[in-house]
Amino acid sequence: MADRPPLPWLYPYREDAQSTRLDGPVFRPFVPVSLLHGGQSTLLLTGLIDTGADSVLASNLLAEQLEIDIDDHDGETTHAVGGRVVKARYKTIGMRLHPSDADESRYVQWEAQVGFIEGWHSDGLVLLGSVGFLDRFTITASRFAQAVAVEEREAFDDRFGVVEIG
Amino acid sequence: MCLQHATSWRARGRYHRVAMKPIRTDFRGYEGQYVAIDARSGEVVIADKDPRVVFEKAKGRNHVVVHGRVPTAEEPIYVGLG
Repeated sequence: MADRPPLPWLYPYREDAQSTRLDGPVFRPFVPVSLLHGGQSTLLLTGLIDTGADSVLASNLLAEQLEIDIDDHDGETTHAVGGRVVKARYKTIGMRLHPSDADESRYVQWEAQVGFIEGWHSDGLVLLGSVGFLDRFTITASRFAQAVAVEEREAFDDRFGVVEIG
Repeated sequence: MCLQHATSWRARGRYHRVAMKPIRTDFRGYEGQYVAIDARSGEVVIADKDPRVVFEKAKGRNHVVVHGRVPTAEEPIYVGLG
């Protein structure tokens, strides 16, 4: 693995192909990611940071690209995504986060369970949810600043202290 | 791209903010197609109705990110995916 580059990394919001909201552009917190399994890796993909998602979800077309036998999965479940009910089959694979300019040679790598979905509405899109992404980094998203910052996950505790329960 | 941003106040109380600008992409003409984008400029550099073709053409091209499918005007806008 390459030396872990220093975070934070800043990402400007990017225009979504799903223009338009009231005839204006839709901007979203997109970050470049890639998926790895065995000796295979995907191209750079569009990761959407989504605090409302429980997990990392992607198209099963990407599982095909990674030569993953999706029948040999870690578990499967159904999700409601974008108003549809879909079945996700999970597999633990490698993930990489790349900087804003999508330089393939610079990345942070970790392992995560990714749910592969048949009939995903947009095959290049990877949904980056709580388990597998938001538990790996501290994310600060600001539509006001029109940017998202990705920091080490300990940054939250450094900034706010450890949140005690009860 | 400038990754710094700053805030300043101008005379007469007007709030002036120099901020990171979002990356714009002109998706017009690509409706119904899968696209890949140069992450530095936001420009569409590959487009095809078959995502496999886009994956194939994007191989070996650094800074190019597969964005996904451009919806048609009749399709609804997702408000959230999770």
